[in-house]
Amino acid sequence: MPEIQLKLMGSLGRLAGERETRLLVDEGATVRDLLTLLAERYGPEFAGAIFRAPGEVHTYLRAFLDERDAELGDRVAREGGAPAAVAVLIVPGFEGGSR
Amino acid sequence: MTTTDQWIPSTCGLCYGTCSIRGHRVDDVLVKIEGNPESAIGRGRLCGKGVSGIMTLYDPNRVNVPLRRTNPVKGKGVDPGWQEISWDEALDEITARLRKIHDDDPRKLFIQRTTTNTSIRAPMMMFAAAFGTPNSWAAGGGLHCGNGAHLIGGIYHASWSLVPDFQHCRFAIYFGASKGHGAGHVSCTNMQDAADARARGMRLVVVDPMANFAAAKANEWVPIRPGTDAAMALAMVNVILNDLGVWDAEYLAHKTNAPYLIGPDGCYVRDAETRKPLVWDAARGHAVRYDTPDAAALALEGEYEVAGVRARPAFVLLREHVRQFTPEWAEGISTVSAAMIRRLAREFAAEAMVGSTIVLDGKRLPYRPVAAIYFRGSQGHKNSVYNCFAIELLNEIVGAADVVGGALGFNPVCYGHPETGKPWYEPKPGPDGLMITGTWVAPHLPYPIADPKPPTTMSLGGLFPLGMFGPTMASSDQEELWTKFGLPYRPEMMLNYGANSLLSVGNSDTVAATLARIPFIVSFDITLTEFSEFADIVLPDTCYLESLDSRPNVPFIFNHPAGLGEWSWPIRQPVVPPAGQRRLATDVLVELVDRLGIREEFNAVANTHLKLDGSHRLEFGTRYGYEEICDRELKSHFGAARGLAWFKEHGVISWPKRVEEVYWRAFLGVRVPIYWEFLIGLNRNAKRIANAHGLDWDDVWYDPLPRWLPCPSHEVRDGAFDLWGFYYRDTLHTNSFTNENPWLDEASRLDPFSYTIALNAATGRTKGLRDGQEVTLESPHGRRVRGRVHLTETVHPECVGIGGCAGHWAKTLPIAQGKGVMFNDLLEVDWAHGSPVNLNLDTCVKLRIVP
Repeated sequence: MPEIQLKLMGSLGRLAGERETRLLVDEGATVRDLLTLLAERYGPEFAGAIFRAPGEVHTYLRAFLDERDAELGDRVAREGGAPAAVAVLIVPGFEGGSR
Repeated sequence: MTTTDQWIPSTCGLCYGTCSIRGHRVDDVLVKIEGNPESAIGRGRLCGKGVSGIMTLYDPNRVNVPLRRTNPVKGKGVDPGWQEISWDEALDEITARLRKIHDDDPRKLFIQRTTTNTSIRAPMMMFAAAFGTPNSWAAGGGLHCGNGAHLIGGIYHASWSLVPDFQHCRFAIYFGASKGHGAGHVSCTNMQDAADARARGMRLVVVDPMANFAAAKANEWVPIRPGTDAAMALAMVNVILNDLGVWDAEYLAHKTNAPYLIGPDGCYVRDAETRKPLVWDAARGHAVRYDTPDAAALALEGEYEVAGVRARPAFVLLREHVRQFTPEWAEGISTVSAAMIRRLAREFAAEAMVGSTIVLDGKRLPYRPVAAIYFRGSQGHKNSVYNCFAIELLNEIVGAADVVGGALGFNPVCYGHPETGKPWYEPKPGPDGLMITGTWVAPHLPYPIADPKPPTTMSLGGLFPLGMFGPTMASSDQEELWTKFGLPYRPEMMLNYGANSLLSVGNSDTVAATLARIPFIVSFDITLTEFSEFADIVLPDTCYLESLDSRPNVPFIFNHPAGLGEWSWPIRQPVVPPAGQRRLATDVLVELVDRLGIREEFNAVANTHLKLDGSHRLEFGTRYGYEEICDRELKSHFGAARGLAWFKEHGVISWPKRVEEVYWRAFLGVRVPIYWEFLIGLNRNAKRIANAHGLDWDDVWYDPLPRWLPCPSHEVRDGAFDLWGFYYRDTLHTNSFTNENPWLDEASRLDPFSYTIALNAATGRTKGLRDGQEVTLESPHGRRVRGRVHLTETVHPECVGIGGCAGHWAKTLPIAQGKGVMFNDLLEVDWAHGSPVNLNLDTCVKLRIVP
């Protein structure tokens, strides 16, 4: 399984109890899969910050893959090589903040 | 001898209208300010406030050095014992405080900002996101206008607010709105557009307790009792739908959820497989999903057997629902006569010209030249959601939303500059096909609605996902509510930018008590105000004429002119260098970001918010000054050749608007809700959480169809309190900020209304009062203000109107001190006076005159 470097930015780091970690993800896992995994891992308050309703990610949640904006369907792991750097951040939902 | 003589393009900052200006600088001295004719934002016009900015810049009482209080006692009128300190001392202490909070729980930081200077909105919210606190508000404005009108504007128009299509509208009815009369969004452009529209023949009816800036220029003033707009609007909807039988079936069927089938439980009847709402396709003779591509005959009437239940289109429920709201019923609530309501409904329906089209730019488009416009007056109440919802239904039933002649959101669609295609945004369909805005201004989008959850923010926002800001940060029952919901932290620090919440929220005693409980307050200010009396450190800010901002009119849904014409993206730049030790607040924020080690977070947020792309994106680990961030934003949008240096020289870039951008509704496949089905689940879940925490809950606020609900002032039974008090926006002033400007003060002293209490002349005579007499107004809660009455025919006989926000007491504001009346001192700030659906604060109050 590929490994990623995860950074939980802003309030998500507090909710998770850690700001940086490494995670093993399934081959082909998407940003959405990763968010689901994180919600299970870090508990209901963290999940509430990620999901607006079951299966519906808040419009103001943003993920970055190697510092680039990522969509929910983007794969989080690089093909081979070094772990991808994934950052997740809550951005107030105005202007560019909403997906 | 003159050595330099320059006209420098920049942007006004004396209200959030943010018009484009040119400053005339001679030998480093600003001698004059004019409107900038090169920009669509103002089109060369500038109001009296804008011209007076020179007096704000050169105010001799400006703060020029960082200050630290020496007196630990905080209170109204208490001298903080200011001591001058260096910037390093100030930032060292602020950083240490912030770092401790960041390491402990970032939510303990509360961020407060003014609505007057829009340039700080994005930087402060970016800082908050990077720091990790969800706790912030726009003091006063957020509670008085932010939760209702803007929510409805977002849900229906994908915009912060709305105006008539001044170029084509034939009949506009304003409910407590002042679009085009010298204040607010797009102030100067709207003034000219409104004047041109009236000259062209647009009929304007103003429904308002007071005939001031809008009604004075209208064809007709309709006096109304405060907070009863929904009653009148619903009666008009009833007349139009049920007496006249007028509606725009095409619009309702394809642009709203009117055809969605509603089951006996009040919820959508959904497709078993996709869970999408169903509609009845009369051509097929059976129900189909709402987004079935070739379904063209969507039923708005009838009753159908679908999925084992009897179901009816939402439109049927709306028509049935409004039957109870007869004009006679509305007259008893609003004081607007039934005959008047019927006549206005007939005129509105007739002028809508349902079914008509017009050709613009070779495209045949719907033509509905009527608009119902709502804003602060109708929305500043506990019942703001239903007030605005009910008024908006007038536009929706006749299909007059974002079509030619109708009610236009401010620029919900932009396809960008011809050379770059940026900025680009448009609404899109969201859950159940309902519209999601293409861009927004506040912390969360108006739709989709989040599931309610036990609140973890100071505003209790999680439980009230329709609200944007809540009053708890300054409420008298703050601790009770936080305890009730088990909030696991309390505010440790406030970072304030330019807001004077002592004057702008509610009664100052309650606000003062909440501020006094915050251990450490830092405030960016240009002068010391009543708020400063509670600050621990005051940082000397640049005023707008000394400031830099790459985006004073972004997003365009906030303060860019609507309608056809040009797009303009101006910048704000210093017309003179800052004096003393004043620093640009955004530069200070960037320095704090670096000192706190949250650069990666801040740069990530900036990339997202400012839509930086390509080589202009910020690398997470690199430090950028604010000027460079501005440069990158401009290059991201307009190409490498048009960075900050280009904009400093030219001031603004403009390009033509397209018909598809302005009259976008016909081109985009989005729907808006005439039936708020989502309130059913929201109510169920929120009620469960509220009751579990010991909070009473009333389902009546969560009905999917609007009704008129009384504010606390409507339920006062003591007949001694025989007047309704409200405040209005004096066009001479912006919030409480401009009261210290000597030119505006002089104009206010010459104006019979600015500093007085407007009372109906006949009512005043009945009470034995004479014009100019000093009186005391008292609320049922014993709150009192004192001022001179001005007897006038231009206020509802049951009402007193006060220009807001005057009544300063700070000795540090020698021009403003002791002038005018602070209406907000009469307002309660507590749960009972907030909306149980969007947390909006009620701003009408029952009053009596006491000796």
